[in-house]
Amino acid sequence: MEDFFGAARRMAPEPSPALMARVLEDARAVQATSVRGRVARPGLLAQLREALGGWPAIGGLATAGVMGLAIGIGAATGLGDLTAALLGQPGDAYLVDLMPELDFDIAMDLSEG
Amino acid sequence: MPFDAQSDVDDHILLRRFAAGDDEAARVLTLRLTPRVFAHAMRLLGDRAEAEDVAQEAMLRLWRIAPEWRAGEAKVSTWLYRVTANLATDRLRKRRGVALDSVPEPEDGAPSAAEGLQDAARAAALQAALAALPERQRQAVVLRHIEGLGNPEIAGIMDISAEAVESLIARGKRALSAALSGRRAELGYHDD
Repeated sequence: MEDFFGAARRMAPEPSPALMARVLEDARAVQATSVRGRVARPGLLAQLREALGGWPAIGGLATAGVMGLAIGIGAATGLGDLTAALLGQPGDAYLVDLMPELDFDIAMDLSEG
Repeated sequence: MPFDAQSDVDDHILLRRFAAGDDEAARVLTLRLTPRVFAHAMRLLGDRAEAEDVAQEAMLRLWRIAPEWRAGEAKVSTWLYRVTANLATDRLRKRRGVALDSVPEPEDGAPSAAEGLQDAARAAALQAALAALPERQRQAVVLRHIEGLGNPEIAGIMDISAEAVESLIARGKRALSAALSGRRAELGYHDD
């Protein structure tokens, strides 16, 4: 039997060049996918940044935040003036003359002594 | 880089380099492993087209598993023999029910140089006899006597005990011997 096994070892079937090329092509394709996958997997902050729309959106968001803060801190006085202008000072009293004709009667009484 | 530059590097180290994106490792592994995988598939299946499909699929599975490969768990070649045998077995199961006439004749897969004719004839006769063996016997005999693996490694590949491997090989060789004895004269053996 050893003669047959020896012959089989010596006459080992050879793969075709086309098969070798296909296998190497597969290897490179898998390698490219795998390496691209590693590069494309972003961190948590990067994922958040992308979810918000990238750096331009982050810039807009930051500007809006700062403006909100500035309005909250610095514009209290101005808002107070505006409120006073529209609604008047809290201590203001309004005189309402319900019987203006009495002014004349009182003046006559006073002049007549 | 010449082929020799990584030709003495272990398979599992090359596989790690492959997973890291090393193109040269991909090339060396392809050149080193594809012929073995193809030859094994060819001996189990006896059909070149099917053996090429199986070899390509087995190698593709190796490329895909490369990033998760853990050195020390198994030899790359052992893993490949197992995957190849499983893929070949699937093919053989699908082939059952196909008329025997439609199964391709075994090929010797080698050029017919004059000095190699006798080897080619014997290899082809052995291939034909192997094809008639039960799958597990064929696999065990091929791994032991053609691929040259030891029984413990074959046991690992076939997921059976070393004793079971020994038994399969013994039965396989008896059947092969019986099948080939009738062809001794045509294969260059002359009784005195």
